Amino acid sequence: MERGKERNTVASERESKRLQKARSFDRKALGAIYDDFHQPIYSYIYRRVGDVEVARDLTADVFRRFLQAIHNKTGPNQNLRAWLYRVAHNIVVDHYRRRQNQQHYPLEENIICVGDDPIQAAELNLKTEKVRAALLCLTPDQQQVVALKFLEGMSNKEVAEITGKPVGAVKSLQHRALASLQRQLVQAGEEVPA
Amino acid sequence: MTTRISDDQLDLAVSRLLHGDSPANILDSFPAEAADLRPILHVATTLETLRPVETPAVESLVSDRNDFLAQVTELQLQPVSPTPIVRLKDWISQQLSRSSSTSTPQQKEIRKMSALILKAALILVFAFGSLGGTLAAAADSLPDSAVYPLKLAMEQARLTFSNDPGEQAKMHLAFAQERTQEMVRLAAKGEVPEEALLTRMQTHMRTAYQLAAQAGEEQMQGLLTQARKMTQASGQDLEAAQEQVQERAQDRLQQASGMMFRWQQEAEAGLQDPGSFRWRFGPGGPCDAGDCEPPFGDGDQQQHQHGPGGPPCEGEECEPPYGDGDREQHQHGPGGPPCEGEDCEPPGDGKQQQNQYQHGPGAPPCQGEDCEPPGDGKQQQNQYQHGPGAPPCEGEDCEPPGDGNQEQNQNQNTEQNQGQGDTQNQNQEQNGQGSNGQQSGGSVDSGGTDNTGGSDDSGGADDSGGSDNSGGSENSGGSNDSGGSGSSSGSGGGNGRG
Repeated sequence: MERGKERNTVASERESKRLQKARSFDRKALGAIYDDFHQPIYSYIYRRVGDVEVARDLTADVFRRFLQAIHNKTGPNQNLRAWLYRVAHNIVVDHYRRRQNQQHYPLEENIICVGDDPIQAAELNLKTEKVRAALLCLTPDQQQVVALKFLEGMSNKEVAEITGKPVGAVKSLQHRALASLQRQLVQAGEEVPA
Repeated sequence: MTTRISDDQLDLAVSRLLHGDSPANILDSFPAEAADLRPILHVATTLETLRPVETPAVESLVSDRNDFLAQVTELQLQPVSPTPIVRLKDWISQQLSRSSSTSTPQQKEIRKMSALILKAALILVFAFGSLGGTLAAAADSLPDSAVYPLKLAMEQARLTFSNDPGEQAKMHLAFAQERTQEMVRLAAKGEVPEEALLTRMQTHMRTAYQLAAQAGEEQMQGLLTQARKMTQASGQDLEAAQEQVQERAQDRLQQASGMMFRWQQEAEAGLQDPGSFRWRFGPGGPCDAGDCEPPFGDGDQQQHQHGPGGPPCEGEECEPPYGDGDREQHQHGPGGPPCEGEDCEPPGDGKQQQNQYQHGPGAPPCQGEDCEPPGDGKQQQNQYQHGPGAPPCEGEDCEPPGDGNQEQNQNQNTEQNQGQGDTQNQNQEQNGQGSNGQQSGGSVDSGGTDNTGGSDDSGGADDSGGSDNSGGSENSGGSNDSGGSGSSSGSGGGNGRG
């Protein structure tokens, strides 16, 4: 337990130093940050959007915002990972909102769901797309909790850090999100055991 | 709609699933909630389908990284000018992250606010607590205290923040009284009050009177009444304190007491004749420049009334300022003969009076063209201040003119050459000073030193300049100076000029 705390402390100090260097636009430090976080952030975004090019663009957008933030002295002072995941989530939500507006879809609360549109659901043959579409029917907070915990494999504590919510709230969000997903998948024709 | 299973139970079941436990085992662990849990576990398993990630091509990854570094370079070149609030926030964040760098990330968020509040509270306590204590201590401090300058600064601040001249005059009176109390307290401690203390008191009194002279009729009466009471009370305090202190401190208290007496007389005279008071202390009046301040000592007092070199005044001649003698002095200059008749008329304006000074102390009132100033106002002033028989000058004007005041000295010599009578009067003044002893000797020294300094400085480099003007006259002036210098070694340099 104590060793774990010490490890966390050392890691935190190291990240803090690296961020300080990044704030002064140290190319080496910024390059290292990119190398460390690009792959996880890309994966997180890809699992949400399911498209390589879109995921690339949105990932690049995350790191662009990071640079802009430290340039404006408003970037993260600590826990860069949480900051990047939060930005990635916001960018994904914005992405879907923009796409919704472009295609004259309803607002996010009534986002196009497989259960609402059987014709479109029929076009989504792949199971993954059905699940991803069902995921879009959740609220942004629920989507974030499900994505971080079930797709990224994070613990409740890590999810709590990123979302900025207490662990109890994360558990509650998780419960409601899974129940909602179950309904969406049932409506989409997915076989869900009773 | 949620199921009957609790959040914690569901979380436990999901965690076991994510850690590789089979759904059957998990459901066995929750027999009562199995019906609700089974579809949820199935959904959780379904989410696994989203986990595989299609990675972009390596070239794309390299390209993306290069783009990122290009942005770094681009932003590096852009000027950064965050707002002051952002900079402050950044600084606070840095300070806090430094102070709490040993804690875990989650604790930091909590400590961030608490540290901020704690720091702010500490700053407030230390700043206001210690400042309040220091100010309280300073308000009661004496000149020998380390916090005394703070007391003076506080007084100055009070004056600065007051826009009402009447209020400012009252403050100056109060501060002058405070100075006298400081003298009394210092003397009681066995210390000799410094002369600077007297100077401060004088400055406050003079400023108070100057402000009173510019106030309305009623306000001026009120201020002068207050000044009279204050000076009377302060004088009594100083006199009473003299009996209980050392001899040296006694002298200083006596000086202060004498000053207060003079200011009291000024106030009384002002109450009787407001017009004269306004003229004396008003803008451009003789007291505006501080020339008519009550002096420090008896010897100075005599010098003030009769001019340097004049005989000590006694009896009626030493009467306070509103007497005729005082005006005569201003008209004829220090050391001049008492004026009578028309010559004693108060000057019509400041310029006329100034012109009289141009011809040197002791000179007859100038008229017509003779009163034209020989140079600019500064030269006239310098001449007056440095001329023989002039009252002791102060500040930069008294600096030995080794800094290129040659023109000033030439003008002075020219003035001397304009009439032998002037020169003779000066010599008389100097001789008189010599007989008067140390005090007047100081006056001669200042004049003599100026001459010496000027001639020494210009002697080598500007000899030709001197001869161009009136070399012979200079010589005569020099000889006259030397005549005067016989009584004072300080003016021996005057010979050097010749």
